[in-house]
Formats: sequence, structure tokens, C-alpha cells
Amino acid sequence: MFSVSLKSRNSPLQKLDGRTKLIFLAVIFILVLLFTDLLYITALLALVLAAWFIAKLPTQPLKEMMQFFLWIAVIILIVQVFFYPGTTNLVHISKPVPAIGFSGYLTLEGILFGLAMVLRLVVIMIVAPLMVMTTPLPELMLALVKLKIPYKFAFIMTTALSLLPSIQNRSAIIQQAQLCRGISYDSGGKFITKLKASVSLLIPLILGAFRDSQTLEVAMNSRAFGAPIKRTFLLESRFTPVDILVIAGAFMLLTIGVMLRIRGFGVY
Amino acid sequence: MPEPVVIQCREVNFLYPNGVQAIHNISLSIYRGDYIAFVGQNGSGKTTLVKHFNGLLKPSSGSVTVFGEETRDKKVSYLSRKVGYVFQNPDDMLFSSSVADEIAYGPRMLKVDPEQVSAKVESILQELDLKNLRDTHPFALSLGDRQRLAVACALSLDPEVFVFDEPTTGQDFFGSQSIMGLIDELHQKGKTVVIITHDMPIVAEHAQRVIVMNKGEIALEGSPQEVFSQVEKLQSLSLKAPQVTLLARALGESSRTILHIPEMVDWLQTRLPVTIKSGEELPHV
Repeated sequence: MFSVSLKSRNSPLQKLDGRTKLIFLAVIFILVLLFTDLLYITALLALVLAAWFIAKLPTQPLKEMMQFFLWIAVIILIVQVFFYPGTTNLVHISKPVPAIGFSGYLTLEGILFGLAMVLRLVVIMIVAPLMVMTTPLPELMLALVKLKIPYKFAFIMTTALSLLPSIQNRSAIIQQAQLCRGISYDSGGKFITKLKASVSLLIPLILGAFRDSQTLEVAMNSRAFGAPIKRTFLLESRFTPVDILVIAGAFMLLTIGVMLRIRGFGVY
Repeated sequence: MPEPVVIQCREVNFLYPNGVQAIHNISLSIYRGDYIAFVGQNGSGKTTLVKHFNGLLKPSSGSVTVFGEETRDKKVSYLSRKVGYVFQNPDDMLFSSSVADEIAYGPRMLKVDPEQVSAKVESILQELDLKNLRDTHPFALSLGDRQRLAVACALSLDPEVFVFDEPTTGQDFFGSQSIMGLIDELHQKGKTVVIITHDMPIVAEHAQRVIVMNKGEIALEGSPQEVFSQVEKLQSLSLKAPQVTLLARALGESSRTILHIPEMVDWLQTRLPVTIKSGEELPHV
């Protein structure tokens, strides 16, 4: 599994203010949930991929995410393709089954809608790591606080993100330890065998995470977390002209998107 | 006649996906019945190298053979029957609801006959002094007992070679003594033992061969006497010989390398007018 940690340094995206990137992220989220038309979602995907390459991020995490997502995508596609109530029949499959909304035909609209739903999830999957991989966690924390997100909530979010790489590392170590016990995760074989093998990974991982969280709690308490004080930050964040430009562009995009949606564009 | 080679590394290089080369052109033979300690600073490549011994890592170039079989083409689950690996943190290995189930898990996954599994579990419980704990939940055990259980799990696959990654880390004195006693017993039964440790007195007391790693290369190799006699070289590698060795040198012993307190006492008795009462128990290092 890919590592969700800072990967982009000295790229235009890394130089943007954390707040700018959070606003960009929110706009993409809203737009991708607003539309169901394959064309509009493809355009958003192209925008996010362009940002990925501008950020000079490696393509390996993208490949790993897609490998992970492949089976989910296939299931979503099958469900949407067969159960979307389309009008342009392409292939006759069987008798209609009204109880589950199956018309008996493979429809063009079903295929397009299925693809759109898959791409919608791809956009959501890519845009969040894009944010994390281009923003150091202290900057992300500062951005959240400056956007008036309560400090405790911002702390929870950034702590969860900062723990991800260590959980991924521990997961790899546990997997190695279990392989040494004769357990195989990748072999073919029965589903039950694979399920048992995953238990051997999940139990030590979850128990380890609980232990870590207890240690973190003690460390936080010993450093007076939650004390009623006015918090100051070591880092300073300031908008640059590029930030203003990106935010303006994001809001313009959002406005156009909402207007199009209100006028009935971008949906089947 | 020398013992047969069980693990052979030929010009092994290993490059992590992030581009860091952790192992540089290492060639090494491990013989049946060896008791080898790998020492070196953190990041010197000890763990990376020994993870090649059971196929957890495959060399980027060069080859590693285990009992004549190239690890590159073999799964870890297959090699784990030849090379057992006990991780530093036993909690990474344990997940079952009882000690007996934990030991039985590996053989069951390898489709060993259930009757043989039961017999194996009973014999290991007996051998490792875990019989009274057979129905206890692994996470209710002390760290020392969890470490013993991790060894039991490796033992259940009946490997010829055992690799222990920092077996005494986090253990108190008696815990360390207990786990090292267990490793010694395995060695006395003919198993080949490889340990990674930062504890030089343990190396001096238990190992028969020492390999010092530095920056992904073997910097020194030999018996504990040979390695610990090179005090200055060790210091240049940020390592330190056992205190008793350094004390003997400070007191002027230069003809041999003293590794243990009993040796030190023997030597002192030849030099000083002191006598140790017969039968008096000497402290362990």
C-alpha cells in the first residue's frame, strides 16, 4: 500500500498556502458530487491529475491506488450497468426482473452512469492524498485552525494523518512476521484461508494502534493538552498572489458548476 | 571436515524502493551449527541482510541460497520451514486466543496433519516451559513469556536455522538470561543460530562468530576474541567491546582478549595476591 506522507517538495503546489489547497479540495469534492455526467466528471479527473503532475508527485501511488480500487470499481460498474434504468437498449441479457429494477437489457445510459460513478470515486480517492502529499502536517494544522476549525478537531485530523505512515510500517512488519510463521497472504486458495490470514494481520495491528493511542494520550496529558490558553503558532501563513489567483479560480469553477447544475447540465 | 553450508550469500546488493542501498556486495557463508551474532550501529544493514535469509527480502543483485535453494524463486511460507525468524517485538507475531492455539497456527496453515500438530504443540509447550500457560491468552503473558511464545511459534515449523532479531531488547536481566538460555539450548540441539544484538556482553558470552556491519558492508568478522581484540577499530565503528575486556586491557593484559568475568578472575589470580573461595558463585556478566 502506498505511503500517505509528504512527497512533493519545491513544487508549485507545495508552495501554496494550506488554506488554498483545502479550498481547492473542498471545491473538487462539491463539484464531483454535484455532477453525474461522465464528461463533467472526466474533466474534473483531468484537473486533479494535472494538479498531481504539477505537484511532481510520483506515479507509483496512483498505480497502487488503482490496483487496490480495481475490484471495487468492477463491482460498482456491474451494479450500475445492470440496474440503471436506461432507455437506449444495447444488449438483451434476460427477462426483466422488476423487483430489483433490472430491465433485462444492458443500456448505454447504464454503462455511462457506471463509468461516471467509478470515476467519481477515483477523483475522491486521488484528491485527498494530493493534499496530504503536498502539505507538511504542521502547515495543514495551521491551515485548518486559520479556517476556524476547532483546534481539537484539527489536532485529531492531523494526528490521524501523521499516524498513517507508522501504521503502514507496522502493517508491513506484522505481515513479514506472519509470513515467517508460514502464513501466506498472496496465494490462491480458499476464501476462508485468506480470511484467517487477514485476522493474523489485523489483530496485532489494531491492538498495537490501541497501545499507541494510550501512549499518545499520556504524552498529551503530560504536555497539558487542552489547557485553556490562547495558542500561538511557530509557522506563519500568508496568502501570496498565486494563492489569491487559485482561490479565485476555484470559486469561479464552483460558481460555474453550480450554475450549470441549476440549469440542468451535467446530470443524466 | 567443515560443516555443510546452510545459507550462502554471493555478492548480495539490496536497494530499497526509495533508492537507499542498504547492502553492498556482501558474500557470506553460514555453516550448520554456527552461532553467529550480527552487531553494528542502527541502520548498518544487519536486519536488512538477515531478512534475506528466509526470503523476506530478495537481493537486488547477487544471490542468497538456503540449503542450496535460491531464495529468489521461493515463498517465505516455504522457506519458513527451513529458517525460523523471531521478530524483535513478539506482539507483531501473536494474535490467537490461547498459547496452544498460537503455537498450532503455523503448522495448521501449512496443512500439517492435525494429530501431528497436537503432538508438536504438546512437545513444544513442554520444551519451552509453557505447559502451565497453554490456555492463557497470549496478551496476558509477561513480555518474557510472550518472547518465549514467539520462539515456540517459530519452533513449531521445525526449522534448521533460527534468526533472532534483538531478542533481549526491553527485557530485564532475568528475562534476557531466560531467552538467551533458550537460544543456547536450541544451539546445543544442533540448530544454527543467528542473532542480531547491540548487547556486547551477550555476544561475548554466547556467540561463536561475530559479524560487524557498517554502512551495509561487513566491517569485521571472526570469533568474539578476534573481534573484541580490535578495540580501536570497534570504536571507529561506534561500538564498544565488553567492559570486562576493556578493563583487562587497561590493567595491562595484552596477550589475549578476556571476554568473561570468570576469565578475568582467573587472570587476576595469576597477577594479584587474591584468592576466590572455592565454590563461591561468581556474578554473571
